[in-house]
Amino acid sequence: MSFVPGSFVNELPNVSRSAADAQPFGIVQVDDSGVIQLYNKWESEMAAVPVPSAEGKNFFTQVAPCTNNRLVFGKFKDGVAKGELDSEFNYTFTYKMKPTNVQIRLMRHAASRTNWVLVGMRAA
Amino acid sequence: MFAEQLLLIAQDSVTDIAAVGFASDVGLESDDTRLLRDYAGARVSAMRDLAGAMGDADDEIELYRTLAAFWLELRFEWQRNNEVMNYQTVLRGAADPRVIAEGSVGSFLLSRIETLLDPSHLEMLGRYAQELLANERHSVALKEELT
Repeated sequence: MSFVPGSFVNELPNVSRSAADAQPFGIVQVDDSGVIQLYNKWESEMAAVPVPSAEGKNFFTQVAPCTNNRLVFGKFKDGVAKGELDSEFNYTFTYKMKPTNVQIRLMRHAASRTNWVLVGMRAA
Repeated sequence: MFAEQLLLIAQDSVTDIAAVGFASDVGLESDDTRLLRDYAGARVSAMRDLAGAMGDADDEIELYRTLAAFWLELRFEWQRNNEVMNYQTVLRGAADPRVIAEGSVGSFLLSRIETLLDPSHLEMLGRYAQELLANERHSVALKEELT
């Protein structure tokens, strides 16, 4: 079962910043090249990266370089190229933070052509 | 002086406390905790060696340049640990705690060194490192397509 409620997934293309900030998991909207358009409060606090410092930068190469590999960025690029992406998997963050076990869900909303990186905590 | 600033961040005790904390976070046994503390201590010692070797005011630019090179070295080392722990996580379901802890120590030391380097230099170094590896990935892919 996903850490992202199904009802919220349906709202994603139109989620407001305040609604995104109210969620108990990370929400990052990125364009097709990975540049951050929306970075919510949870993600900002978890990664200790202020929202203004993150938005406008590339999520995979500049803000979360631990995701710059085939496992995450490669999967994202493949999904964008195919026009469909919905993949959830376990991951471990250590960059500028204590060891943190997370789940990552990569999604592309085909109708709105928007891309989402969702991050939730998981037990070790 | 820059060498004195470097010596301030290259304190064994601060990094050792952090290493012990990371070891506890991931549940390392005592032998592995000792190895992790040695791993951290060796890198802090390398920073002190830099400060000692280039401690004269005339050598400050060289010291800065060499510390930037050390940052890159640690960044690549952290990147290797990051790849190992996450391929293990994705393919086997869990990562080796020792690798996670070494990655955390590397990240901790990167943050310490970054307090002494200009943000614009760090951004440039990070971009070069990322482009270097991206180009390598591209070259390898291209070579495979051609063979």
